[in-house]
Amino acid sequence: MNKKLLLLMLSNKQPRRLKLIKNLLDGKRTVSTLFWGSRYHILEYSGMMKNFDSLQNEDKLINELINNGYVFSYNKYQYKLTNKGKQKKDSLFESFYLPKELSYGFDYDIEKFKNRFLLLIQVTSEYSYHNSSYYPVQADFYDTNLIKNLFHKYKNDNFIDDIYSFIKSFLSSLDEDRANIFANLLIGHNNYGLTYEQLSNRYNYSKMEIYFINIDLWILMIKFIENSNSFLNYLLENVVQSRINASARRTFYEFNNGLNIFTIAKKYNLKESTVKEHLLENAIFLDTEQFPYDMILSDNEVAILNKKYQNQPIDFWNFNKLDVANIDFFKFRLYQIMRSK
Amino acid sequence: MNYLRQKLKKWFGFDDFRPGQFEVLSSLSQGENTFGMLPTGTGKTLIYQFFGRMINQPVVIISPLISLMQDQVDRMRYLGSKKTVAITSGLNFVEKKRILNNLNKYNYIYISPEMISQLDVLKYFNKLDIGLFVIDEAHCIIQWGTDFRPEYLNLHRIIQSLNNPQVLMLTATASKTVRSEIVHKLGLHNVKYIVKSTNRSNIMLSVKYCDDTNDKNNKLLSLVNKLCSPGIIYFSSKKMANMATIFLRQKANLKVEAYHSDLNNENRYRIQHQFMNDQIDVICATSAFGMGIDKSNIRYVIHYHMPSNIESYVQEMGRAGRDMKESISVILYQKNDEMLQYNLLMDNIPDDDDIISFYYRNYKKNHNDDEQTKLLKYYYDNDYSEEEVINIFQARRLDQKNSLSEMLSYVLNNDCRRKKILSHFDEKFSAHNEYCCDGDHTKLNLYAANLIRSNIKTNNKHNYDWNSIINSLFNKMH
Repeated sequence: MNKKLLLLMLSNKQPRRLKLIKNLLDGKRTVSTLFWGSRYHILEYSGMMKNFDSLQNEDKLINELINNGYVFSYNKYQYKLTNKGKQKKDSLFESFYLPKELSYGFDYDIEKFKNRFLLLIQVTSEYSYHNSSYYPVQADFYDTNLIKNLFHKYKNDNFIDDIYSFIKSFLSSLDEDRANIFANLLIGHNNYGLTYEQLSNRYNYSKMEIYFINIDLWILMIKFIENSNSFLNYLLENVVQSRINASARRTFYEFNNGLNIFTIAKKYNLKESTVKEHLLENAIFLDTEQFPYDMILSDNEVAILNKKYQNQPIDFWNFNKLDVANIDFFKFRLYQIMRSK
Repeated sequence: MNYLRQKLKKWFGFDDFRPGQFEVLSSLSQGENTFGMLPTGTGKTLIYQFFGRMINQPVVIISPLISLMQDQVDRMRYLGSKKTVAITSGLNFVEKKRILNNLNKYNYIYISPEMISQLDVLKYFNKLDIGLFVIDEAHCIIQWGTDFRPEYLNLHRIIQSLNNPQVLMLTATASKTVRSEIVHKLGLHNVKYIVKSTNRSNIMLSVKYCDDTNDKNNKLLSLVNKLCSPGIIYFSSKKMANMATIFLRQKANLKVEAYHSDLNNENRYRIQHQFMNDQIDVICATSAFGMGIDKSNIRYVIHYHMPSNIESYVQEMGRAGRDMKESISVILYQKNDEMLQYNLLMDNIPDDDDIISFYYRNYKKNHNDDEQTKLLKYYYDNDYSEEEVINIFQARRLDQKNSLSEMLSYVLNNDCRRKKILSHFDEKFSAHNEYCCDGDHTKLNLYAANLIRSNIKTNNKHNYDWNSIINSLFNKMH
C-alpha cells in the first residue's frame, strides 16, 4: 500500500476514519463501511484493493503523512488533510493513476473476466498457428468449459479474424500507453506477456498504478463487449453485478411487495436487524426516488428529525443524543442516508 | 524390450528409454509392486504415463505438490494425455462432485494424500478399477510424514481399502534405509526395487566459502556474470529472494525475476513461461515454491542459503542440466548459515509446551486453525496420547538436526564432494576429476565445460508495440 493512495482517500474538509478507509478498499461490506464510504464519496473504490496488497501498515503510513505535514489527527480515529496536504492531493490527482472506470452501482468481477478473456485469446492465438499442444493459462473448471464451448461453437466462422479485429478496434480506442499495456497482458503463441512488475519498469508507473490501469482496462473491455452485440457477450456471464448483494435485493423486493420487516425476517429465518441492514444497504446504493423512505419514516418522524438536525452537518449527527421515542438507530441512519442524497 | 521401445517411439516419439525407465516398466508389466529410484530429470512421469496407456486402466497418482498439481495435469495434457485431472482443494463443491462422479472417464488422476484421506472422496476411488497406484516423490512419506503432512501415514490404510492395487513408488532421493522405511510405512511386501545411481555426473559440484554477506553478494554477482545462463538461485526467504533480484538487476546486465509464493497464478504463469522460453536469465526462487515446468537447459543452480538436508539439495540442484550437458551447482556458505536453517526447521516442529497446552485445552475448544493446530489435531483425532506425540516430535527434531548436520558436513567437507553426497545414498564413487567438483583442492574446468559466458547477450526479444503484438498473437505477420 502506498502513502499516495491513502492521501487521496483523505479530505481537508471532512475528518475521515483510517480504519474505515482500509475496510472499504479491502471490500468489507458492513452497512457502516458502506454508509461512511458514501459520505466520503469513495464508495466506488469499495473492494478495489481486494486483489492487491491491502493497507496493512496504515498506522505507519498515516504517521509518515503527519510527519510530512500533509495530515493532522482530528481525534483518536479520524484524520484530516492540512492545506499542504490538500495541495499535494490536487497535484496527485494529476500525476497518480486512480481507476476512473469503477462504478458506484456495479461491481465488476474483473478476475473472473480476465481469466476467461486471457484463456480465450490464448486458445485463439494457438489455433491461428494450428498448435494444439501448449500450456493453457489457469482458469477454473467452469470458465475453462465456458471457453471450450465458445471455441467449438464458433471456431469455424472467421473466429480468428473476428477476435483479431475486435481487439484491434478496442486498442485503437485507447491512448497509446494503455493500448500497449493491454496488449502486453495478453498471452498466446510464444508470447507470455508481462507481469505487473515488468510493466511497471517498462512504463514508469508504480506497481499499484499498473494494477489500477489494469482495472480500468478490463472494465473498458467489458463495456466494449457489452456494446458490441458480438458472441463475446458470453464472457460476461456473472461478471457485472449489482453492488447490492443478492439477499439484500431479495429483502428489498419483498419489502416493496408489502411484507414488513418482521415477516421478511421470519420468512427467511433472519434476524430483524439483518433485514434492517439489507434495507439500509439498498438505500445507500439506490437513488432517492427508488427507495420508499416514507414506508419506514413517518411524516411526523421526519419532521422531528428535520427540526433536530436543522443546522448540523450530517457527519456530526449523534444518535446517542437524539433521545426520541420510536426513532431507533435504523430510522436514524435511514434518515441520514436520505438527507445525504 | 522391442515391444516397449516400439511403443515408446509410437506414443512419445523417443528412440530410447532413459536409465531405469525400461526396468521399471518391465517390472510393472510383470505385475510387481515396484520401487523406482531414478536420478532427477530422468522422466519419471513418462513411466506411469506409458504404463497407463499400456494397461488402459486408470492410474491414480498421489502427489505432494499441491500447488503444482494443476501444472502436472497441464503437462500430461501437453504430452498428449488429455484425460487427466487433479482433485485439489482449489475445486469448488460442484466441480469436485462432477469430477468424482465421472472418475472412470479419466486415465490419470492426481490427488494429494490429504484429499484421498477424506472418506467421502475415497469411496469414489473404491468403485474404480485402478490399474496403478503411484506415489510420486515417495521420500515425502519419510521427509514430511510426521511433522508436516501426517496424512501421508494414511496411505497404508488407503491402499488396503482400495483392495491393494499395484503400487509404484518413485523418488530420486532415498537412501537404502529410507527406501525400506517407505515400503514398511506403506505396508507392502515383495517389492521389486529398481535403483539407479543418484549421481548426476553432468552437474559439477562446488561450495564457495564467504567471509560475510557482502562477500557472499559479490561472489553471487561474479558467478552470475561469469556463468552461462539460464540459472536458478535458491533462497530460504522471499525477502532475500526479492532483495537479490533487485541487487542483480542493478549490477548484472541480465534479466532477473523473483519467483515465490507471493506471485499470483497469472504472474507465476508468465514468469515460468518466459523462463522456459529463455526470456529470463536468472530466477531468484524460494525452495518452498516449486516450479511446474521442466526446463532442460538450466546451466547453474546456486544455493544462496544452504539447504536443510541432502535430499532437498539433490532435488533442487537436479534442476540443472536435464539436457545432459555440463552444468554446475554452487552452494554459497557463510559461517553460521546453518543456524538460519536450524531455526526455520525448529519453528516448524511443535515443541513440548505446544503439545502439552494443545492437549490441555482440548483442541475442540480451540478455534485457531493454524498449521500447527491442524497437525496436532491429526494425532489427537487418531488417538495418539500426549506422551506419544511428544516423543514423536522429539525424535523428529533429532532427525532434522541430524540431517542438517549431515548437510553441513557436506558443505564443510574438503574431499571429493560427489563421493560425500553419494555415500549418503550408499553409493561409492572414485572418478574425481576437474569436471567433478571443487573439493580435494581441485579447480573446476569451467571453460572446457562450456560454462563460461563468452559474450554478454541480452535477451530482449520482447515486443512492446500493441500492433505488432496482436499481429504476432494472431499470426498476421505476413
